[in-house]
Amino acid sequence: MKTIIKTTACVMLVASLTIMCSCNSGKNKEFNQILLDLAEKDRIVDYNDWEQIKEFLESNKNHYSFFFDGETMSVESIKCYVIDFFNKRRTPMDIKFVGIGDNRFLNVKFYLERSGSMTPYDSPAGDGKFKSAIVGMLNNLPNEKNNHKLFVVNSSINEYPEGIKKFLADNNIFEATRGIGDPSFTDFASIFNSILNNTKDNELSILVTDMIYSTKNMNGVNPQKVFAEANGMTNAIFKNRVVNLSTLIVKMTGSYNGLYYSYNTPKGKKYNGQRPYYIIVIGNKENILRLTEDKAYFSLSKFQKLNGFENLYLFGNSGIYHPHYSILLNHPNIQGYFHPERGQTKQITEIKEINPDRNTGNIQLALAVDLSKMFIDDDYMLNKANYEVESIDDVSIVQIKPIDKKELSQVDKKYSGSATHIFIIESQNISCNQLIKIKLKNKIPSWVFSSSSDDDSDVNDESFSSTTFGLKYLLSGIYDSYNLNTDGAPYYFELNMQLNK
Amino acid sequence: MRNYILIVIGICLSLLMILFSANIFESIFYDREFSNEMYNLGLYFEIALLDVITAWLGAFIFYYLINSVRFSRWFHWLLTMLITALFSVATCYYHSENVFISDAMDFSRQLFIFSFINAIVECVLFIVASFSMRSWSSNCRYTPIPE
Amino acid sequence: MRLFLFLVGGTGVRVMRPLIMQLASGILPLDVSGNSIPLELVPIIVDPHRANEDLKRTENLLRWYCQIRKSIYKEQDNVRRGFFAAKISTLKDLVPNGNSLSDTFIYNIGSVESKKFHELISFNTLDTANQALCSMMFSKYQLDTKMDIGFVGSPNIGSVAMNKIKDSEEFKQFSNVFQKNDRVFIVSSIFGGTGAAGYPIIVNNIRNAANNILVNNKGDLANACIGALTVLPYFNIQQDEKSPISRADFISKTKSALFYYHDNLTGLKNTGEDISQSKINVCYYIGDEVPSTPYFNDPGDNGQRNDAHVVEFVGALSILDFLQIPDDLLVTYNGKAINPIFKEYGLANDKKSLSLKDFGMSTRIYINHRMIMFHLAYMYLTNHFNEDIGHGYTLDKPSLNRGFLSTSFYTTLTSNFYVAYIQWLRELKTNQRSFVPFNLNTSMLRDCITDIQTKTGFLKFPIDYKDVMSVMNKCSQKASKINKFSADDLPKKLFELMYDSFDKLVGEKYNSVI
Repeated sequence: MKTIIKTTACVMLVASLTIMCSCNSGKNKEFNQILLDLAEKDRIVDYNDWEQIKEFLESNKNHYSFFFDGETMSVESIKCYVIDFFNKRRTPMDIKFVGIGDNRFLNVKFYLERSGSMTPYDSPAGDGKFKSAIVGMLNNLPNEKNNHKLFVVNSSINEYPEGIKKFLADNNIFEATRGIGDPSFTDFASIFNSILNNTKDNELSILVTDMIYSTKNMNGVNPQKVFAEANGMTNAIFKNRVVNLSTLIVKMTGSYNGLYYSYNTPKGKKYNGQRPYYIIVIGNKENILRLTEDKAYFSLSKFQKLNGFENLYLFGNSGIYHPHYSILLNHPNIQGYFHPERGQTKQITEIKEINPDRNTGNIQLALAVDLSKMFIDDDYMLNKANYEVESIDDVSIVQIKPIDKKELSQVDKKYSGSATHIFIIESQNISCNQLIKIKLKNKIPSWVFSSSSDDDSDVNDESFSSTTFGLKYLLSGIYDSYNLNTDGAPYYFELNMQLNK
Repeated sequence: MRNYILIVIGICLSLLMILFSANIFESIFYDREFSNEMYNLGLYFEIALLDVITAWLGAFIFYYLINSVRFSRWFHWLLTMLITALFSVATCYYHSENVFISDAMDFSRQLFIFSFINAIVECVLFIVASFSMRSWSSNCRYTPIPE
Repeated sequence: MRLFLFLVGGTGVRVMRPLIMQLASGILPLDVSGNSIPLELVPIIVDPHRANEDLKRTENLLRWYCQIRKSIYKEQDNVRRGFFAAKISTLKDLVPNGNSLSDTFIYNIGSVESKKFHELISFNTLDTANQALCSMMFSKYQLDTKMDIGFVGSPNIGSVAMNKIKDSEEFKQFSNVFQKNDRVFIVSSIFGGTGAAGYPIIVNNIRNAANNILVNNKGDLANACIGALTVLPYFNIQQDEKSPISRADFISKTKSALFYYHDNLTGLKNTGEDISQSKINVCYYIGDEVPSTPYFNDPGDNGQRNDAHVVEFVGALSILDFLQIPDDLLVTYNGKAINPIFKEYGLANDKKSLSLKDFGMSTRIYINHRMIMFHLAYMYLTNHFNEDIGHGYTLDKPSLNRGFLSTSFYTTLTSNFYVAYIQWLRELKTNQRSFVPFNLNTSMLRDCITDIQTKTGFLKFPIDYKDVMSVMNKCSQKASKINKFSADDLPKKLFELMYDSFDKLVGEKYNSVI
């Protein structure tokens, strides 16, 4: 009888504790509800979300004294609390913080090349694409234009004293900057050097250039030597800075109306037609990633929408992106049988008891991957040849297709989250436990090669309108410096799946 | 002595049920998505806990609170078991359904099947609890069967 | 404590019936501090009327009682609580090698029973003068009376015949086993033959044991504590011209007997003055003015069988009362009781139909609880026990299974003892005054006690058999925890559980039973 009384007492104690614990104080409930409202949907706490959190905590300072270090709010402990709160929910999720606190906006240093070969892009006789693209881009900056700086670069780097506002107001963008520096040649070495060294943690550098590497006197010089020099120059400058900095290069096209100075014609040739130019965005890794994650910078990051956009390419270290992905549990393309390993609450990456389909003898898995928010061209990402699959058994990607939300069950919707594409992965047999790694290789994209020419003397050549003299040498110099220390082939991201027998 | 052994065994079995709830439930009924969600949302554990608590509570009510000669035959016991099972299963169904709904998922069909299994599990637990604690009951210590 | 109980004549035998029921209910004498005193009762029936139906019934009851008690308590003396706690023995049981005695409660009065009275006094061998004297003292009918029908209401015959007692083997053995602390109680009627005559003779033989060369323990016997119940007329008989017995005689016989007792038995004279000494330590007188339902006028030769009467019930209580009087109030010196005690009995309510509530307070306190317990146990075993077998407490080891129902113990209890019990209750009810302690027309516990209601209230239901089982379960659980009963203790188990359970239930479920 005593045992029974004790047992009963224990059960009651546990029950009452549970009830007590579930009765959070009203304040905590309110705070948690605020967190849910702000971040449950997009899983991001941005500047505005953060301000609301701050405001709530400030007004309930007494109740949340543990978040305060004296008078100052402890950002880290609040972050910990928020991350913990979302991780401990029945459906746990990861929360990211972007642009919180003093880092609300990035300051942009805008470098405009003003060499002789740049002014024809904004010729009054042209189609205005260049200007609209530049203005559009600058207008997409979320914060006060006065916080940004404008530099005019050619043989030297000179700050434009009137500021970006004035610059944007001018009719002819090169008119305002006339007379600054020596427009006859562009000193890429010093420009890149300056940009790489002076881009601070909360800054972004944007360089608009035609990317035509030139030295002071090119006449009679073997172009191959120039290329080698360009290659060496970028390599040398970038290799020390690539650990922190990412470099995005966007190829644009605009009308060119004026003299074109090819490497062997210093006097220039008249050219009237389309010409490529480039927007190069440099910033530390986090800031480049922020461009696609922070709502405030969404419009800036949509380079594809700029008038004259052609291609883009991001130089970055291996594994710069960590897209969300998850094995789908219930998709028409699935063949065979498997169970998810237990306890995978945010994404399904481990499965077990895999058996082939009785009819086809195949094992086919559907992997939902979020390919958005990355500075990678769609046609590059969607080309299965650009992926490398590491596995023990023969595993291959059959297809990459956009996700059709209608095909997803509610569970799959939950785990696939923001996924945009489905990778159909196939194997005949899974003979043993193995880790499957799917990597998107980071190669210099083909457009770089097709946009590069070794000879720009013939302006009437068919390819002239879309190629840049020696582009690939400049870019491969950067590419090499990024991949100097990478083991194996460089890659953008990798998707890991553990398949157990 | 025998009585103490029985209650220890009963408690152990109940704890094992809570501990290995997922394995036990899944070994009877497995549906890839449903089972995975049940596990991830902690529902197996909660249901097992609720099952164990209601089974022991039901048995306790029968053997010690009611503890009546008028309500001491095997069919009374059976009735208590069915009511306990019904209560437990209904609560589990309602709770799970709510959790799923709050996660925008609809598993009504699977939950329905699962409820049947849960009812069986609850009955087994009720039997375990009954035989563990009945020997101290004055009027029902031989319910449902003498030995 | 041991009591030798002489039951003299038909009335003495009838008083034994309620006494057996009271003892079966677990009523025991109490000492001054209220604790039960274990009791061994040795009934000695002194009645030459062997064919007497009342005698047969009483003898059977005694035998069944002994069987039942033996099944429950084995040979155990000193039982202080429980149904059938008091031990009843025959004289033979007490004598280590009493092979010369028959194992019966009935006193074998020498060769009296087989003879006619004139043979007994050797009428024919008397000289004419004495024959003439005898003819004056005894009627022709009396002289021709065969002694095995008793003394047909004629103390003059009895006083002659009963004198044979002192020479009998029984009296010799009685004196042998008698010990100093034992007590003697004599029950007799004053208005009959056997009783009225036998009572003074038995007393005198005990007090005069010193002069009897046949007996041992002369001193102890002479100074024994003797109590006596003298039953005064309480029953009516049908008028019958031809019968030697008539109610009209009862009163005159009673008067003359009382006078005789006063001078020779219950009151002694010293030089013509009354002194506060007596041969009897405690004298009880009982009778009833209300005439009973007329009994069939039967002098004895057609098997005297009279319905039980409440006077007998009360009379039986006097025996228990006697046992409760402490020794220091019962001093006997030289065969004479110092400061003898005389007691009568009065009812609390003078009603035609009595219930347990109509006795005086001390009686109610003493017997009501136990009598009710016993009746409830009877009700339970008769009406419900069957259904409970295989459930609850019956399953505790040692288990009471269906086989138990066919044991000789159980059949003796239910087919014999309980039948006699209910017969006794029926007779009490139909007699005048009617004594109806229990409602005999119900099988439910809630209304089976006259004048005592069950407690009811909000969520408190009247007692029923489920409550009995519930309490039995609890008691059995306690008992089996300590393995109180072994496998051959089944009767004991059942009876102890019932005793404990009903003890509790009577207190819990009924309004005050006192």
